[in-house]
This record gives sequence, structure tokens and C-alpha cells, in this order.
Amino acid sequence: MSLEKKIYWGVGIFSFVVIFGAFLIPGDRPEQEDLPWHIEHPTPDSVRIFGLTLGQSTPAQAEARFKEQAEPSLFKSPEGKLAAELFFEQVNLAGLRSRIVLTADIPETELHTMYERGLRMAGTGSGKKITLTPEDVERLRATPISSLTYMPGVKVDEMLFKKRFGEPQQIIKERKSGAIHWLYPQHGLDITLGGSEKPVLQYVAPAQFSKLIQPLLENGERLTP
Amino acid sequence: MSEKYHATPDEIIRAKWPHEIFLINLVFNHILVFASTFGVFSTFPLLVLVVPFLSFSITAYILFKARVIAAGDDTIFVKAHWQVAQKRNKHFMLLLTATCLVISLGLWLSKMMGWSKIGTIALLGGAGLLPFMVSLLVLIVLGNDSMYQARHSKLPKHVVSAVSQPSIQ
Repeated sequence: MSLEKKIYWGVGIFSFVVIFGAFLIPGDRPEQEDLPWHIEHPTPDSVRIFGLTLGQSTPAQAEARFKEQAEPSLFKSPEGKLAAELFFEQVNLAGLRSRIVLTADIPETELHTMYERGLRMAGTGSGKKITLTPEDVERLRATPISSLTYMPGVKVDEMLFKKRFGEPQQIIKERKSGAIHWLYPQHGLDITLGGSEKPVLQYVAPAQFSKLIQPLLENGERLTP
Repeated sequence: MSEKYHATPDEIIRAKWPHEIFLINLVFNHILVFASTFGVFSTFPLLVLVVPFLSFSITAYILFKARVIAAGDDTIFVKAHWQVAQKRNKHFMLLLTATCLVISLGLWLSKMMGWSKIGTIALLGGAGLLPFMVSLLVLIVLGNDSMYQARHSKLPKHVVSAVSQPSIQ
């Protein structure tokens, strides 16, 4: 057999082995920790979601967990409220593409100092976005996460939420936008449903839940007692 | 654009080899193996490297063997087809090197500059993979044409003048 013949058949057989081998590799099974309804409570007043404990885990740990790099930014709302956030543009959890926003637990005074030091400011639809200095980005990545917002890339049926999370303890409708919030204080969870919009799930530590729902109570209409 | 040559069945087989190997590299390795290894990229990210490694090896072999054939005492028909394959593989190697460089540089820049995953995929796919895949399709067509010519005892005219020998009819 000539060398050319050996190469020809060698490449052909090797290709078939690789192609069929790829079919035999089992797909990634969704891990329990990748599911948005798998909420753990390491202590009675703490929440662990997607393998991250709110108030303890850092954005750097989240980046390692999601195998993605987040975009850090400081946001200033039209009311002047500052929030340091990290945005994951695309995270694949349980085979579902989603976006995730982490809010870092940085004191208000320090946020103002970061704002003053900011490198660039850009207007967004609702406020301003400030580019942080590399030192502040490092600080942000090392600060514990206070809240996690999960935005699945698909519209989810309300029934699925009821099945997975149970009946909400409270339902509040925002007067201005009409968005409906399903509240689960025991899990520190607020599910926002906006009709044809995709749902938004926000997780905070149960102790922080009252802060989360305060603006809703002020600007919303309670649909359940 | 081609000349008829009375090749023996053995000459036809030897003249077809560089095109056969070139085509199996493009179709099997660059399309099927690439698609399969890219499909399991999340589980085995380095497996996709088997494609350029295999391709460089095959192309290097064709280039080396074409030089050996050119220096040997094979017939003009065999020499001419290996020469066509040599020229094509030389260009293909440059194309493959450029694509590997663009993708490596893009991945490195993406890591250094902190580009988003979607942006990186769009840029590398558009600037690196897309031109390569289009060239690949053109090369497959050319490779098939050369195979046809070898099978039908034909020689491209421009190669005949380069590899002149009195046995052309």
C-alpha cells in the first residue's frame, strides 16, 4: 500500500472516528445549582443561588462559576442613586442562555468616591453609566454580592413559576409600568412579569427584602393581602 | 485550457493522489471534523486544534512529495498534476496560516481587552472563519476539477509549458 493510500484512508477513518465519537459524548446534564428555583439557605437569613451565597460570594467567584467575564459599571439613576454592578451578557445555565446582573455591596459613601474618580460617563435610557478606574474595578470584583438579577433569554409561562416556586406570598402591580411582581420573602426573591416581556428574577438576602419591596409598596397596587 | 494526454491507468492513479488527499483534507478534516470538534468545544476545547494540526501535516506532505516527484523520473502527466497540487497547497497553507494567526491574535486581544464573548465570536467568525470557509469551497471546486482532469487523462495547458517534455500528444 502506497503512503498516499495510507494517508487517504487514515484521514478518512480518523474523521469518521471523530465524527461518531462526538455523537457519543453525552451532553451536559443540567446541574441542580444551575436551576433558578434551586434556592438554598445555608443559614436561615442567607440565600444561595447558582452556587453563589449572597452577601458572601464575590463577583470574581461568580465569573469563575459562570466561566464568563462580567462588565463592571457604576450606574446613577435619575434620582441620583448609585449602584455598582457587573453585567454578564451571556451565561449558559442548564442549557438556557440568560443575562445576569450582580450588584456589589459597596457603601454609599464609597460609591460616591468611585463616581468622582470615574473615567467616563455615558447616558443610558434611565440614568448615567460611569466607567470605573481599574482599581475600583478590582475593588468591585472583590466585594460580596448583595443582589443577583437573572434574566432568562426566553419567555417563561407563569404556571411554571407557580409549579417551581409555589404560590407567591404577595403580588404587587406597578402603577406606572403595569409590571407584576411575585414576591417570595422567605427566598428573598422578586419575580417580575411584564405581560409579553421576558421575566426578571431578582434575588437578595431575606434580611434585605424589605428594602427591595419598599419602592414597590409605595408605587404599586397590592393584588393579594 | 487543457491538453489530452494518453496516460496509463497507473499514471492516472498516481496523478490523482495529490488531489484526492487535498480534497479529503478539505472535506473531511476542515468541514466534518471541524464541525464535530467545534460541537464538543465546551467539553473538550483543545480537540478542535486537531484540524489545523492534521491539515498542516497533510499539506506539508503534498508539498514535500511534489518536490520529490518533480526531481524524479516520473512522466510529465504525473509531474504536472503534482505541480498543480503543489501550487494550490502552497496557497492553501498561506491561507491556513493567516486564518490561524487572525484567530489566535483575535482570541489574545479579546482576553487582553476584555471583549464580550458575542463580540469576539462575531469578529473572529466574520474576519477569520468566513473568508476561510468561502476560500475552502472555491478550493474544493478546483480540486474536483483537477480530479476530473486526472481521471480523463487531461493536463492544464499552463502546466504543460512549465513541465515541458516531448511525450505530450
